[in-house]
Amino acid sequence: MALTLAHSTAHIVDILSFSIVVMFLVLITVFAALVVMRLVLSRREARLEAIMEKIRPLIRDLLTSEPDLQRAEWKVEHLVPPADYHELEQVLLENARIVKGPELDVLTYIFENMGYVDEDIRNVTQGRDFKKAESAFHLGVMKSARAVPYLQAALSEPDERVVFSALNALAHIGTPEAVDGVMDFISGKRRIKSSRVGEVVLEQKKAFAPLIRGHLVEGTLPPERLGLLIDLAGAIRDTQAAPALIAYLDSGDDLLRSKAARSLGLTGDIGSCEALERVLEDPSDEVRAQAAKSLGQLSCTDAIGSLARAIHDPVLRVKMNAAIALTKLGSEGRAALAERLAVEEEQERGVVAEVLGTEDVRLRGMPGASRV
Amino acid sequence: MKKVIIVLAEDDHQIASLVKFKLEKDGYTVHLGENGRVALDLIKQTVPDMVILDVMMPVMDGFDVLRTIKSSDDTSNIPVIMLTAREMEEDVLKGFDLGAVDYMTKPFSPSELSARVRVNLDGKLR
Repeated sequence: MALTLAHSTAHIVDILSFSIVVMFLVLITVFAALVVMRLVLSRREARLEAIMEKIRPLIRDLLTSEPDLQRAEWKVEHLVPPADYHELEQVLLENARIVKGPELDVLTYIFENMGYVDEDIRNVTQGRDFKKAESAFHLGVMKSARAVPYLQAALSEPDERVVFSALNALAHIGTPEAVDGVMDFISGKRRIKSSRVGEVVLEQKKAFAPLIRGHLVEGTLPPERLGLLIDLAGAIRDTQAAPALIAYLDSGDDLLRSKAARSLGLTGDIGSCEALERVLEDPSDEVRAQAAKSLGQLSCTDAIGSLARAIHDPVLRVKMNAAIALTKLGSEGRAALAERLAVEEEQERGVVAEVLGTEDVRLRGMPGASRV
Repeated sequence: MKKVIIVLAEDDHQIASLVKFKLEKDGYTVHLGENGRVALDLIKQTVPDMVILDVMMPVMDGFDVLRTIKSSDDTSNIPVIMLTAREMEEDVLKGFDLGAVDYMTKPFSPSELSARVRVNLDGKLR
């Protein structure tokens, strides 16, 4: 019995040792395979980069010569071997990103006539998601007006990467149809992060600004969409949107009022000061906090008295924003802030002390500053 | 005849290569600084006929370089063209306030840049 037990134990130990050796060998093999793959990939990357480095002077030469579309295409077709056309596309794209005018026309002509636009349109309609997103992005850099309907169709793709690339491409192309496509999407039902749309709209802010203003004035879209458009008007710093934004300060929707107060600060329209000063009394603390911040951003010196009173606001964030705004309103604003140092309430003194400590060291030495 | 020297301050390698290539093709000698600090050293060393300055650069931005150029007697007469990103177009006024003679937004047209360089150099070399 004891002999059988010893025999079994030895057998188990053998199996375990064997398993450990096998696992070790598998690990070594996997590690070696990864190292080989990395080496192969870096060699491939180096080879591609070497090909691109050979193509770059040719494209630079084309872009710095008298623009002649057909001659430029002929040169590229005859001087770059077809096997290197993928790398050629990369070099053309990196240059299309940085040039405009007649030089971009040369690149657009090459993209169109060497089949790159067709290939990317095919990928956008039939490729896998990653390929769709990549090709949509390419079509934007190529500024292909012909691709607009395909990019608009891509806006209904389920994958967000594809949608964002298509939006970006449409904004980049910037033709009226392309801009309309983006606006239809923005005012549609699909949810998308406003920061991402903001990046898109910034691409062509001159084209989007009047369309955004138009929707804001109409005000017929659902509140969620109006909120997005209010954000966008601020993000593109559209001064002309200020009257429409001021009207939203009277909206019954707290969120729209606070967004309007924030965007007004970004537009840089000093004509908004009075309206913003008025909403320092708004029932929503978020609106009051945004209004205080914007009054500082717009350097509204006439609002110094209201901002000094806002330091008594029951909500800490409003107090803080009002105090910070005062530091931005010149010596008068800073003096008004220093006066607050004499107030009794501990929280107010704390707010002022913090702002003085972090925002405006110049106030040190002013009357009352020693009491902080 | 003395070659016209231009200092180009630009951290984007693609843009810098293209601008340098174009200006050299036009017959200028171009010294490239990949950040504001390097560009400023080049400006002090070479006292160029023109400076082309990107606004957004690491280490020292274009406005700081411009301010330093304009504050020194040796360099204050050098015409400066600013290169700015489209979304930073508001910075143009600041550039003019600090003494820039011209500006271009990126993306840019190399032939247009070449024309602006020529026009602004004409004013200086005449």
